Amino acid sequence: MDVEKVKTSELIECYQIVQNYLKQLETEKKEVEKELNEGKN
Amino acid sequence: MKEKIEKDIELSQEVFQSLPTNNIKNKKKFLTEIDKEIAHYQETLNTIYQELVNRQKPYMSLTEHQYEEYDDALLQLTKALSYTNNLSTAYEKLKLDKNIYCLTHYQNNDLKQNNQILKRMIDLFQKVGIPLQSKDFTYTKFVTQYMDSFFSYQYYLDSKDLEKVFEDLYWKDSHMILEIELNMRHLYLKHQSEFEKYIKKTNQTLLSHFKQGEKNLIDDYSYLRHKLEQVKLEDKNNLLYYFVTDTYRVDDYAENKIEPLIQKYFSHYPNQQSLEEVYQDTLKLLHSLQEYQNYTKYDSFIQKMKKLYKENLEKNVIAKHMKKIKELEKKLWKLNKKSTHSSKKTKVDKLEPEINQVIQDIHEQYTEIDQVMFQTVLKENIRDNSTIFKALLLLSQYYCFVADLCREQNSDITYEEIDQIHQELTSFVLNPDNTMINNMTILEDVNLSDMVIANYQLLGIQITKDMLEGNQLDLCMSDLKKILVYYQLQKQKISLQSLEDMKKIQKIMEKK
Repeated sequence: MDVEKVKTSELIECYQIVQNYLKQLETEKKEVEKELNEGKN
Repeated sequence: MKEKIEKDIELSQEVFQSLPTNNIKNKKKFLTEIDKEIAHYQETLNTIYQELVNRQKPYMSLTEHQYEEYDDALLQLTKALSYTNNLSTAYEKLKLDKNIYCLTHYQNNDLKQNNQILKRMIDLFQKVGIPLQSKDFTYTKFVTQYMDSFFSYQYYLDSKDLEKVFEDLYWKDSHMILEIELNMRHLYLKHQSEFEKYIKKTNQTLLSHFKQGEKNLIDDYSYLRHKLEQVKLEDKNNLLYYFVTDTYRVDDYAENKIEPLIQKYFSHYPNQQSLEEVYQDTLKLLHSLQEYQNYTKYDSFIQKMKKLYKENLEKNVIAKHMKKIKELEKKLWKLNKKSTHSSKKTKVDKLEPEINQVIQDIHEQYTEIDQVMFQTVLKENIRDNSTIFKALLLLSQYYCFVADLCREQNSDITYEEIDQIHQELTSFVLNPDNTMINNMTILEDVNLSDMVIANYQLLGIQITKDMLEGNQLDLCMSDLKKILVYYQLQKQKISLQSLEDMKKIQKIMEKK
């Protein structure tokens, strides 16, 4: 990934997109973990 | 890159939506896959973050330029201008007046402060070539005794021993500080010609490298002030620093905000006036408003001077008081000679009440002189057609009168605050961009706000009476400063986008 050539404003947008996606993944992970723990109990 | 990331994320979301989580085995598999995905995108995020931090580094390393060399040079020139003008004597130029004033109001000072004032005055005498000793302090025998100890401890003025000497003597003579003050005034008058010679010699040195003497000093000062203003306006480092630190807000310079702001004052922009022309006119207008604001700030000082100038003053009043002081001092020396005071005896000297009365009489004479001094100086130097500039310049040379005016308005004002006001007054008077005070006479009754409005309306600049009042004036000046900043952003090719990006990266880094 060649970040050096990317315009700053675009790089900031990419950061925000990836950050938001990571939050989404963490939320989904927590949901499945919860289901798993409830299933065990 | 943004497109690729969005596409990858879209695919990834489709994959995860299709992964089954209907049983424990599938849930565990889902969690394994999602951990891999999180790790992958965390790495991507870190890579982007590092690059953003690298791009932010030039902004983070900015520090504000100070202009100490300019400030120092202006201070030296201001001092030189006060030395070389003929509006004051050595007493004011060497700040003996200020030190005596501080001593006169000694009720507010502690012993340490009074000792420091004394030391400053003794050092001044030394500078002029007059090394004072305790034998020069003969107003009363208590004064001689204290000054004996003072000279012994002059390099350790915090000494407890000196404090004890003062306390012991103070119970016997509670007017000792007053007597020391009167003694210092006497010493100045005794050595007045030496002080004037010192000033003359200093002036010769100061002016020796200027062909046109004092005029060159004034030109140098004006040049340096203008140069400093220009350097500050064009300082790219500080401009960026102020955006980094939120002194300036990026939003204020968005085109949809700044263009209407410019048109509020300059209706001919952009059709009939370029940004460069607007910049020059903004500078002129800002200077005028600053002059107007300062004029209103010192209006009470100006009105007091007008009143004093118009009021009658007894002829040769100071000379009369000085003659009386000389007679009283002669009487005092005779009484001191006859006095049976001794530090070893506890019996009160029978001449003490008479000595005290003479000292009180001298004090009253000096109080009368202090009260009429500035009015005398005003009448000697100002005429009906003298400008407000000249009157304020004269005022700035007389610390005592500035201090009195300050204390009239606020009896709790500190010396530091008086110093600040005095410095600001001097800076205002010497501002080379002043035009109004240089052309208005002391007796003229002009509505200054009408003058400003009329003048700028002729140039097509929209200024109204409301804009010149109180907070509105500050707002107006703040608007004009924004126009100056906007011009610099254009001239230095600093894009608003780059500043917006910088603020966004700042926010990202704060949250991490």
